[in-house]
Amino acid sequence: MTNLKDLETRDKSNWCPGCGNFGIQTAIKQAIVNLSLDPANVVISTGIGCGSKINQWIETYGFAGLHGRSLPVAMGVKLANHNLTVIDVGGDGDGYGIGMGHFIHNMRRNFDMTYLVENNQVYGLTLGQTSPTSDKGMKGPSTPFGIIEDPINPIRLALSSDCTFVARGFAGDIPHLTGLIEQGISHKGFALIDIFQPCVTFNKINTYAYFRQKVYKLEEAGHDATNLGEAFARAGESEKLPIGIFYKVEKPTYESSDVGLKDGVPRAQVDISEIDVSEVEESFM
Amino acid sequence: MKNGSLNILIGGPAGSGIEKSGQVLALSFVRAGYFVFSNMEHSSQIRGGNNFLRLRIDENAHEVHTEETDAIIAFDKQTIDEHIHEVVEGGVIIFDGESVEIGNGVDSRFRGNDNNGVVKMIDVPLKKMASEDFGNPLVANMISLGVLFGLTEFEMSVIRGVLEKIWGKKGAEIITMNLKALDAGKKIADEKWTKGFVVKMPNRVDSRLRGNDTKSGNDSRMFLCGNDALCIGAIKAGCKFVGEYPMTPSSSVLHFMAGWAEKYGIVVKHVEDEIAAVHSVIGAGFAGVRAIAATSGGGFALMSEGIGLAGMNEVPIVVVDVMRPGPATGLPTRTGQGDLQFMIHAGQDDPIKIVLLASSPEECFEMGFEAFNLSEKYQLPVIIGYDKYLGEGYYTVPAFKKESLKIDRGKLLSASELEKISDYKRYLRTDDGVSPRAIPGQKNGIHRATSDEHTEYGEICEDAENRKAMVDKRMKKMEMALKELPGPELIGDADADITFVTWNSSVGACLEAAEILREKKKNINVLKIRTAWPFHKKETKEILKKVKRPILVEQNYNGQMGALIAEQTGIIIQEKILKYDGRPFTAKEIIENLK
Ligand SMILES: Cc1ncc(C[n+]2csc(CCOP(=O)(O)OP(=O)(O)O)c2C)c(N)n1
Repeated sequence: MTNLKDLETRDKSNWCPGCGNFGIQTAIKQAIVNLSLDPANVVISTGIGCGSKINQWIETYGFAGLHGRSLPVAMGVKLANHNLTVIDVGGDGDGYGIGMGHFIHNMRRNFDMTYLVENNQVYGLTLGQTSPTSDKGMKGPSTPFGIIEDPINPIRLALSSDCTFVARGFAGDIPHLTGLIEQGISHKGFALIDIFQPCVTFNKINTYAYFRQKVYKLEEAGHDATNLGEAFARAGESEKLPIGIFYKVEKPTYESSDVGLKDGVPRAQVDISEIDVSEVEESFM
Repeated sequence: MKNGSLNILIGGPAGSGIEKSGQVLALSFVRAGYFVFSNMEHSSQIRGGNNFLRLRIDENAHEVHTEETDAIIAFDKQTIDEHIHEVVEGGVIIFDGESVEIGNGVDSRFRGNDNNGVVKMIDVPLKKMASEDFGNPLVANMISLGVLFGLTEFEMSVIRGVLEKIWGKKGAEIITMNLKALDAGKKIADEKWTKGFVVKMPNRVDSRLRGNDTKSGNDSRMFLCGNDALCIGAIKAGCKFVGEYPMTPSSSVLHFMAGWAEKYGIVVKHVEDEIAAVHSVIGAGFAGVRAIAATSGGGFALMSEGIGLAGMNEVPIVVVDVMRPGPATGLPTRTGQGDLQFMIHAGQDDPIKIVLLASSPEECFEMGFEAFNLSEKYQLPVIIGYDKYLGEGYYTVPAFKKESLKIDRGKLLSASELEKISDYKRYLRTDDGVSPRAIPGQKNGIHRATSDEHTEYGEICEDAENRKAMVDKRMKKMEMALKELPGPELIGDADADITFVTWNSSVGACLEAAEILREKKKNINVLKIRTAWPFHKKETKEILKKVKRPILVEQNYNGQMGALIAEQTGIIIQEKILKYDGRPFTAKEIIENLK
C-alpha cells in the first residue's frame, strides 16, 4: 500500500502561490495511490520549465533532463525496463515547442506511457513569453504587439498522429484530473493528457475563472470516445472547452512488438556476464 | 610485383556491383590464407559517378592501402583514365571494350609514350558473354573476376564456399550460374593471358584441413570493418539498447546491431533524430541498460547537449563518432580526423567525459567493449572516435582476444546492498568521486537524476559551496579514470631519429612509412595517442621530451592533436604532415612529405 505521505519529498515545491501545477502534482500523487503503484517502480521523466520541476517533489524515481527532451528519455527508460510505470510531464513550450518532433513520433510508436502536458499557454520559467498554444493576439515580452500565429491544437494533433488515448484535464478540477491520470496510466499504450494549467503570474487571460466558466465534461455530454470524427469535432470547440477523454483505442504497444524484447524480459534484468559472440565472428569468416 | 602479393582496384559507376565483386575477391583470398585490406572510395550518390574499391592482398597484414596497383577491373572509362598511371609494369586492366570505350590514346596517356605496352589491356566481351551465354547481364562482373582468378592461378575450389556464404539464401541455381561465369572468365585468362601475368596466388591454407568453410581450416580469420569490430565489442559487453539515426559513415553500426537484435535480445531503435538518439540512450542508461549511439559529426553536433546531460546526471552511455570531413555536410562519404577538439568539448562548460581514439579493428573491438565498463565505473559518457577510413575500411584479423575481458558494472548496487543503506544519496560524495548507483525498480534507491546542479540527493541546489563540491566530485572521477585509460604508446625503437605523432587510421600509414624507411636506414618510431580526454599529460610529456624529432601526422587543417598536446603538455610540435582533402594517407604520401 502506498499512501500520499510516501510520495512526499524532503524538499517542498517552490511554484508561485496558486500555480496550476499544485493541482497537477496532487492529482499525480493521488493517481499513484489509487492505483497502488509502488513508487520504486514509477519513473517520472521531465524536461525544463516551471512545470518540469514537478518530479523534484514527488517521491518516485525521476529523471530531470533537458528542455524538450523528456520523451526520448522516457522512451529509453521504457525500452530498458517495460515493467516500470513511465510518466512524462512537461510544459507546453517543452512538449509542443522545442520537443514537438519527439511528441509526434512517440505517439505513433505507442509505448505504454503517460504524457501529461502542463499547458499554461506561456513560457513560465523564462518570464512569460508566448508559447505554441498561446491564444492568437496574446502579448508577451517576445511578442509585444501580439502573437501572429494560430495556436497549436494538441488534441487534434494527437488524434491525427494516431495517439491511442487522447484526453484533456483541468488543474482546477483535481478529482476529475486524477481520474484521467489513472485511466491514462492504466491504458496500454501512449496516453496524452493535455492539462489546462493556469499560470497566475504571466497569463492573465487563461485564468482559473476563465476555465471554470468554459469547461464542460465530455463524459457528461454523451461523447463517444470511440468515434474519431466526433473527437476531432469536439477538439475544435472554443466557445466551451471540453475536458475528459476525447478518444481511446487499443493497439499493440511498441514494446510488445520489438524483436529485441520477444522473450518479454526487461533488458535491465538480463544477465550480461557471459555473452558468446562466436556466431557473429563466424559470420565474417 | 611478386607472388603472393596482389593489389587490385575495381572501379565503375555507383550501382555497378563493385562492392559485391570486392567481397567475393576478398573472402576468397582470406579463405585461401591471405590478409586482405580493402577500402572503398565512393561519392555520395546511389547511381552513377565513379566509385572504386581497392584490395591489398598479401601474405602479411596491412592496415593501409597502396596506390601501386597490379590489376584493375574497370567498369567505366573514368576508372581507366584516373588510375592507369597507378598500374605497375606488367600489370593488367580488365575491361569490356564493347561498353567501356578506350581510345587509342590509352597507352600514350600512360606515363607517356616510352611506357608503351607496359600495361596489358585485357579486353573481354563481358556484357555480351553474360547475356548470350548466361542470359543474365548481372554475371558480367563474375566473368571479370574469373579472368583475374585465372591470371593468378587461384585455386577455384575455395570460391564455392564464398559464393554459398554470400548468395546462400538465394539458392543453388544462382551459385551454380555464378560459378560457371567465373569459370568462363578463367578460361579466357588460361587461353590467352596467364603466361603474361607474373603474380600467382597459390592457396596458403593446408588443403587437408580445409573444408568449404574456414572454421575447419587452420587459419580462421575474419574480414570486417572497424564499425563491425566495434559492434562485436558492444554485443560482447552486453549492450542491449541502440538509439540511432542513420548518418554515413556510421550507419553500418545501426544496420549491424539491427541485424543481430533478435539473436542477442537488443532493442535497436532508429529514432527521429540524433537528439532523440542520445536521449533515449541516456534513458536506457539511467534505467540500468548498457546503451550506445553511433553517428558522424553532424549528428554528434545534435547530441552535444545530451552528452553534457549524461555528464551532469552521471549516466553511463557510449557514443561513437565515425568522422567524415566537415563542417556541415562536408564530404559525406570521405574520411577525416576533424572532430577531435569537438568530441572533447561537445557540451557546455568543462568536459565530463572520456574520449577514446581507436586506430585499428582490434582497438575498435576492445574499446567497443571497455567503453561500457568505463562508462559504468565512472558513470559518465564515453565517446569513441575514429575516422571513416577505419570505420568502413575492411581488415583481415583473427577472432578477437576475449579471455581477459570482464564485465565491470562499477558501483551499481544490488538489491541486498541497497537494503542496507538507510539514507540513500544518489550523488554521495566519495573519495573517488563515484557514487553507489541505484536504478529504477530498485527499492530503497529512489532519487531524481537532475540536470540542474544538485545536492547529493539529486535535489536542485544553487548553493555556491555545494556547486563547488559537486564539480570537484565529478572532476575527481576524471582523475581516477585517467589512471586506467590507455595511454600514449610509443611503437618502435625508443631511440629513433624521427617520431610520428598520430592517431586513428593514420597510425597504420605511419607505421608502414616507418617500415619502408627502415630499409633505407632511417630509424623512425610512432607515438600513438589512444585517449584524447582526460589527457595523459605526464606520460605524453615524458615521451615527447625524449623524442628527437617529432612530426605530427593527422587529417585536419589545424593539427588538432598537436594543439591538444601543446595545451596539455606545453610542448609544441613544429613539424606537421597534415591532410584535409577527404582522402586517406598512404605510406608513400607521408614519405614524400618528409623533408
Ligand atoms: C535548449 C534550451 N533552450 C532554452 C531554454 C530556456 N528555457 C527554459 S524553460 C523554457 C520554456 C518554459 O516553458 P514551458 O515549457 O511552457 O514550461 P513552463 O515554465 O511554462 O512550465 C525555456 C525556453 C533551455 N533551458 N534549454
